[in-house]
Amino acid sequence: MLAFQDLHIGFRKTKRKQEKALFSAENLTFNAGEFVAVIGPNGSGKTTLFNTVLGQQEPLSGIIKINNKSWTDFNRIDKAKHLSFVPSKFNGVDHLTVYDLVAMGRAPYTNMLNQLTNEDQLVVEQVLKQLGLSKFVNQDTINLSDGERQIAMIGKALAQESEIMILDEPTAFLDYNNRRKVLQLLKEIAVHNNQMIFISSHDLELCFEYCSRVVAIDTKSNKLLNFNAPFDRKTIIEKVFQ
Amino acid sequence: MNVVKRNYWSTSAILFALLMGLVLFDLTLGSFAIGFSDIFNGIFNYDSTSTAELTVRVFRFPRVMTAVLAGGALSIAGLLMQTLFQNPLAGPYVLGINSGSSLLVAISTMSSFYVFGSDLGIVAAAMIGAFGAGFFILFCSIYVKNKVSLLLIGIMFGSFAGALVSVIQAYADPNNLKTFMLWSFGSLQGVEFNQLGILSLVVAFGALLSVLLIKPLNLLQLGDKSASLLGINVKSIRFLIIVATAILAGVVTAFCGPIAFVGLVIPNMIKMIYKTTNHAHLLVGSLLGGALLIVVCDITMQLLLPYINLPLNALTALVGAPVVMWIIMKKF
Repeated sequence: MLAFQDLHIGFRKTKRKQEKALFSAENLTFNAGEFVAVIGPNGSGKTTLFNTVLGQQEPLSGIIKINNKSWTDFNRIDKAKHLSFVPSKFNGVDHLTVYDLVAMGRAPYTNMLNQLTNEDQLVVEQVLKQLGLSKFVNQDTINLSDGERQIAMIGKALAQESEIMILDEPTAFLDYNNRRKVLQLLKEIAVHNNQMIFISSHDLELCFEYCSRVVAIDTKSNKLLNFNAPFDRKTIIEKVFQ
Repeated sequence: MNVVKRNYWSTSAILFALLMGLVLFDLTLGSFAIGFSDIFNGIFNYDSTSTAELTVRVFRFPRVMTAVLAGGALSIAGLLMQTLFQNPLAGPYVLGINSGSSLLVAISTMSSFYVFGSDLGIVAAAMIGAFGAGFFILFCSIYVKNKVSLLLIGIMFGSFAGALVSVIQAYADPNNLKTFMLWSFGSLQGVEFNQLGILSLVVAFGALLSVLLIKPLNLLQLGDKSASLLGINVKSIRFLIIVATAILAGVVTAFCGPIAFVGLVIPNMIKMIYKTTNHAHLLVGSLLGGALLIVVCDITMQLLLPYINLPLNALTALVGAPVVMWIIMKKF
């Protein structure tokens, strides 16, 4: 579904900055239903990889393909239909209810005035039920706990009905229970909705426990290494963090 | 699952009814009282031999309509700025759009460039100034990605333009200085009946542009990155929002002088009353709320006229500054 071909990640040369290459990924393919975690030390380029996949910046070279079609051939709306994103922290907006937030995920499908059709409303309600958000629908996003708000944001991404969901450090601001809860939820979504879920994280142990696949950024060889479950934890940690 | 759907239209209807009542009341106010029948005739069935009807047509109807249009336009402009910068304290005044107008009006009235001599010259100068400031901010937005920095650039631009105006004032001829000061006090009397058409057309155009931006405005509240990943072209939307703001704030500043605080206060009040983030309702609410505030200001000025002649700009600041302080204390 998502494929990297000879992909080189980094920052292009601008007026103020020199070109900075971070790492490369030769040939990697990710399939629907996979729950993938990117791990690597701070500054190794996890966020840059996500920004590149999300189309916020260009790769130094190489191709990103979705369903065998080059990423550059998609227009903005098509991208939003194939790819959804959850930032690591969302602070909430005054008077924005959980229902309205999840409904924003329908934006790529709605008309210019952002009116929800019956079909859109059905999708939103299904998402709210699946995530157990039904009792929060009328609550302000600003009044939720960090964990609830994170799940509400995942709801927004689910309502987008994209094949690929990218979450930038979804567990960074959560307590231990909520970390497990969110990762369990994502694991279920990957299997149940047959979506590909792509997260970055520093919670190695939790990633090894919940994810079906781990890609690690090796800062010594500047390569993206691929590991499938069951993981040999010790080898991975030694390779990447020492 | 019970999704509470508030009926925002009924809130808007109440505001609209209130506005209509106050507009009618405002029309009766002035140097002498005028009955409702004369008001109706003066607007729709004009007879130039009747003093009352003449007064309504020449002075009062333009004055009250200008109040409605100016208030609505400024507060929509404020709402656009606040959503764009995701900052409740943003407004056309903060971005320096009014300062751009002031600078060009100062140049045209007080310096030796008599390019824009007449009354309409002031309007033209103010419009050019507003667009100049708007496009300056746009130009900066290409290079400055951070929105807080952009806001600061706007504030700095405002101070810079203000300093230039002071320099011009220091060397100005007293008569010209008076013309400029009168403009900068803000006034609703400057628009004539036949200019109302232009004013309402431009305001309607700006408002229509804002309506077309409802969906992007709603999504921008999640942040630029999330909005762009939901299919919004953030760069061009930012451009359109600044254009709409320059049109709305520019035309009002041109005809009425720089009116402060309306664009800042009203959208915040409307958000508190409506309790929604949907800009379809916030736009309608801001339009009505802004119109209400300026009409109330006008009523206050007319009622106080026998005792004290309050400039519009002083009145909006007297009401607006405490409200802004209250917002800051409540929110930060």
